[in-house]
Amino acid sequence: MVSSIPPFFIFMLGALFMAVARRETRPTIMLAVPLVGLLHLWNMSADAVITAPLLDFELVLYKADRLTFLFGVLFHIAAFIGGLFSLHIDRPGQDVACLLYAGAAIGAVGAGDMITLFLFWEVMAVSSVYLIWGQQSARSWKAGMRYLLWQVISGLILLAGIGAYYAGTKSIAITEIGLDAPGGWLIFLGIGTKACFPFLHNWLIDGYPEATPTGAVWLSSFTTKAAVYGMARMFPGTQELIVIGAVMAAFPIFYAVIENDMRRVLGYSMINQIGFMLVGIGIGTPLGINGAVAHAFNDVIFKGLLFMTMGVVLQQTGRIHASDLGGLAKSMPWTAKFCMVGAASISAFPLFSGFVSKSMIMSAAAENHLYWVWFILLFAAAGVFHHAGIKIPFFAFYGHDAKIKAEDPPTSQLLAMATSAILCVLIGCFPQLLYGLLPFETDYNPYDVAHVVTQVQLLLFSALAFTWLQRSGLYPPELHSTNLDSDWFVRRLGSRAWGQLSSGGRRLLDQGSRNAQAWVAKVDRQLRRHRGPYGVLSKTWPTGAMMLGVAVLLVSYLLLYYVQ
Amino acid sequence: MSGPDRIDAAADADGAEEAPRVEHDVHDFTGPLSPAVARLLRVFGALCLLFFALDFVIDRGGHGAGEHPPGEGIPGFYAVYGFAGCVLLVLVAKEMRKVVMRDEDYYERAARVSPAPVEPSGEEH
Repeated sequence: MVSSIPPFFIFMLGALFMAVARRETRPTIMLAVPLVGLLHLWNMSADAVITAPLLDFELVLYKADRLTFLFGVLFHIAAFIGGLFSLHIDRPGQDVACLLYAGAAIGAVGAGDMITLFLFWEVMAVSSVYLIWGQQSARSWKAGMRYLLWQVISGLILLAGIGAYYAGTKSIAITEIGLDAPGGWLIFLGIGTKACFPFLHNWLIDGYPEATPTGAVWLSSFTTKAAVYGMARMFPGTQELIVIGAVMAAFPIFYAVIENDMRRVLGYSMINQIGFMLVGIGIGTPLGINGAVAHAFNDVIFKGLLFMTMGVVLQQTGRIHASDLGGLAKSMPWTAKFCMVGAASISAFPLFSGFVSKSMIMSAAAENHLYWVWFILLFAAAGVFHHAGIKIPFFAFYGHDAKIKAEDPPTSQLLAMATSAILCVLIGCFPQLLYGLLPFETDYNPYDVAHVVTQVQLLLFSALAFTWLQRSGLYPPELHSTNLDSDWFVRRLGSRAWGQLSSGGRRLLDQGSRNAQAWVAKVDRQLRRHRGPYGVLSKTWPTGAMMLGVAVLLVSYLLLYYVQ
Repeated sequence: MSGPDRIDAAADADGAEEAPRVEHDVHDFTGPLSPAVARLLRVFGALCLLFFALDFVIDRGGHGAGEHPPGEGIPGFYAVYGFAGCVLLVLVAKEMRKVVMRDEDYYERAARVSPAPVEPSGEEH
């Protein structure tokens, strides 16, 4: 009986309760839903399948397997941490959106058919935009609109692909489909938009930094990772993903170096991490897939932790730009410590979580003789340490003392950060905890001497480069600025083209409306002349005239009669 | 592991202390170091040297699946690659600013300016 309830249902029910609950029960719901959900997921049988009929289709609402289970567990943990982090403020609307969003993500990774996937894909898009709009500024309103537009476009491309796939194969089951399947490219691009493919990535850079301090934590956990899941499920071993992933790992780090908004830096480093995952999926060997999935798991935790610390900085100081911050370690010691744990994890320091998963992907690349990919990934690994591992904590908590009055956030937020930090260290020290959940059996051991020494060497000398560049004054200063990215094509070129087009169109329309006006005026004039107050047709005629008319009529009638 | 961050953390303690906050804070770390920071930097340098030297001692043959990209086996490869990679990264990013950097309100201003030529044509006639 119990296992006939799909895991997402608990979240949807929770969202419903949240919508009508009183103030004092809302925190309980927020924390209870992920916990109950996790317990439920854990107790479901390993081959559970839950179906529901819809029109002619048999929808598969949940189909258990190892990959689904891992992502399910991950999203429950992320929802719990996110809930704990947003406990201190009462925003019922945002809380409902959060639960719906997490539930939809859990539904998407559990979906056994493409229609169910598509439905959850759209719920995710619509519910998550409230986390951006929650900031309640004109800027976030517009950013949210652009974000929603991208998400909906991604859904539409996916839907088109699903349609083509169904037309070609008469099946909607989610399996490994590859690019050669009918509609394969469309599905690939639809999922790829949410996975931040180059040129399709800007919704993340644009949207996430405009979200509420708590909302950004939720956003960072679900959408992109659901897309990574989709890729691992439907396109493992797709060569194109290796190239795309390598590009994604490399280009954002350049932007991250010159970006001033800390949450935007994290957005860029997020794309960089997804690049690693996509490379692993593209390689498609058990080691590659395992690495990608393990890294997705770790990334949700440590990236969530970094987003939490930066959210706290924004919330407690009202500032988020590197150039305005500095020296917060004195006033916010705990936040600084948690940030260091997150930074160490994302940089793959030994004993922290990134170390045990990133190297799996690199090993998979080397194993398959993809040396050029390996060199790019190594560069990206050094680069991510440079901007996420050093730049974030250094400019926020250390470095130049900006003399900001601030203090550590409320206890619930500290607890949320502590939970993430503990998980980072736990997985880093006992990787078997995570390896046991991976889709393929593995005996990978990250802790051999050579790996530890080489990795520490890489990181130490990257840090040395940072120190030298800072000391010599070569490091570019942090400046308030906008850095053009691929959104320029849409927001500037596109809006100009639209301006041209609409001004051209408006000119035509003006011409047309002027013509129409002239014509209407003419008709009006005529009407007035004949039917106006003094027009010949609205005059009051004397009775004699009428008599005359009738007489004329009768006479002509008589004449006609005789003529005939 | 958090060495460099902490080092430079205090690096400016004696630097931009008295300057009041302006529109753009200049974060300058090129000034003289306080004794504490200098000591930390020395420890950090020693660590770098230690791990560089370790590479000549340990046997790296057993690492990974046994596949080595060309050059990876050379002792000190990771140190040189990490250092050179990061310097290159920063210098290229710095040059990139010349192409991609705009004012902070670039898009907002663009949004205000671009519809402007359109509107009058609708009202004039």
